[in-house]
Amino acid sequence: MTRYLYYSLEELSLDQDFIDWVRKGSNDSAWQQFLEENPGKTNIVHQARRIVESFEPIPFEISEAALEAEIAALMAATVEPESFPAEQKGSGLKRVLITVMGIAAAALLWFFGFRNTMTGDTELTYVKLVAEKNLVEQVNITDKPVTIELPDGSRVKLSPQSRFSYAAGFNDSASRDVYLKGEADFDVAKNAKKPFRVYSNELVTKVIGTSFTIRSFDAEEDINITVRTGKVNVSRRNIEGVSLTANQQAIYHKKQKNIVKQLNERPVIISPGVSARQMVFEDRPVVAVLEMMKAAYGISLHYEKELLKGCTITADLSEDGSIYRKLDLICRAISAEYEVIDSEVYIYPQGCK
Amino acid sequence: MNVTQTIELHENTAAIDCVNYFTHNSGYYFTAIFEIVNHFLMKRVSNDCTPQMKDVIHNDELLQQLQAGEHAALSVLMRNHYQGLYDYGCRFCSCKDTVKDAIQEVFISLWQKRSAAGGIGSIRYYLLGAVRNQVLKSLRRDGRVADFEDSLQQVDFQVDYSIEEKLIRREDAEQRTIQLRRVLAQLSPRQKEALYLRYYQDMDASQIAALMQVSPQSVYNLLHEAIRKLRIGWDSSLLLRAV
Repeated sequence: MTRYLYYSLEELSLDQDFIDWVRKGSNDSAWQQFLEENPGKTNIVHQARRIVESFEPIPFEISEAALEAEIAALMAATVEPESFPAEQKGSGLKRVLITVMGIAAAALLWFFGFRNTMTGDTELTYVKLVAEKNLVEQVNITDKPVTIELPDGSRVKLSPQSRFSYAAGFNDSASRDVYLKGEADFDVAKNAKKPFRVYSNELVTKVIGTSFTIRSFDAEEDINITVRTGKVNVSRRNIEGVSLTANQQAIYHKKQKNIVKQLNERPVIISPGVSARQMVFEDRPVVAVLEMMKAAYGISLHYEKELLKGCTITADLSEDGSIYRKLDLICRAISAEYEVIDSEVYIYPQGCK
Repeated sequence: MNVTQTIELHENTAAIDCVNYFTHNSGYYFTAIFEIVNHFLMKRVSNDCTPQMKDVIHNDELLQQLQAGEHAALSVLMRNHYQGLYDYGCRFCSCKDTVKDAIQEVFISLWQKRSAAGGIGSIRYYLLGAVRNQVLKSLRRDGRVADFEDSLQQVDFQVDYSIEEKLIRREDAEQRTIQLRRVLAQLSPRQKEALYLRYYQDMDASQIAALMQVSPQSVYNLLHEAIRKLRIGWDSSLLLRAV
């Protein structure tokens, strides 16, 4: 690490190890130690870091289905009927492995086939999604949620009666695709290079790194996606989707085939800088209180600032009530009304006198 | 054998174990469950291999199989590299189909020339270069770019930036985002391309020079000028008030 003592900002910003640290968190402890031992370098490291971070192109992505089509086209264009496989040889270990895998694959096929005939069409979508892919599958047959740690560090809490699968070569593939039937909480490790996509029936939920819940049981009429932190995009196959941020949810009605975006039923405070206990106000401008609510819950809150100029409020909102209860209290104090339209809150004040 | 002997001079025994493992076991995954087994083996030794080594070995393995005429290796190569190639290709034009066609042609040609596949050093670098040439060739053929030597000057390199929340504090976020966008917009197409290849495709300066068909000195200038612009942008508008 000592060589970095003599690096200019430009050199540092272009150094492979430095870029890997900024972009992938590689070798973090060594860099932290370097900063601790060389406090004089803090400034240049932070500047270089910001430069690397600021150049973040939005990726052009190809859907999984389109990629499969491209691969199929390539295979068709390059097929050579006269070629035959070379002699197969392998170490003992590998032979055993191949056999074990073969048996596992056969068992999996039998399982899906069997289940499918038993339950009719209900599992068709999930089965279709996972068919002919090399996947690792987890099925939660207990009555408690089970936490699964994925190879990239993401965590999935799988609810009872739910199934979840991901690629056997998860860390080696270009994107992080997983398949869900039932309900799961996701805590996705951030990796802007590899979007994390959850396929649940006909919906695809795409994120970079965030936490959210998907509920997608075949027996239910809706698929529900609720975001706790960060940003996610929900789309139907090949159709432009909706973007969700914290405290928003998307509901997909299977029959009508439409996605509705709304405010989460129980929005929670998402800003690390704000706690409920701070929400005791004495003679504070209403605008400041509303702005604090906005920041705390990360929601869109619309109102005419001019109408609330000079208005103050004294209120104790520290109780663990819902955001709606808090909005009720505020609005009653300033004799205003509010309404929730889709995922946004509109406040209609009448002035404070 | 040569490989093993050369590497034994190295001090890093973990690396030797890793390479030995693969040299002694290379070359015969032919079945359809190739990927599962491969992943399993990778996982067994993953503690001994740095991620970069793993990638290198994985790719070398695939190229050897390709050279041996293993058709499945071609599909694995396409699956592994498609996203990166597609992303790169799409930056030269708003023409997704042209890019897809270009990628197809590159992989078909890779298959046709598979007997020489063992000679490809870095497959990623090879593919990026081939896709770039193919896309630009199509653009010239379609008359979207004039067909003379410095025609690259007119080819844009499209980058829409995702401005990270962590860079911008919540208050006056809008204003800062605008300012950062203004700074980023000052980068020339070739500066953007060089920086993109450095940051997003892990290419080193000599690879970037070869890809962009310019001298190493020009790449150095492009990269340093780009960093300098970003630095000045941050210094003058943002850095003083930043977290």
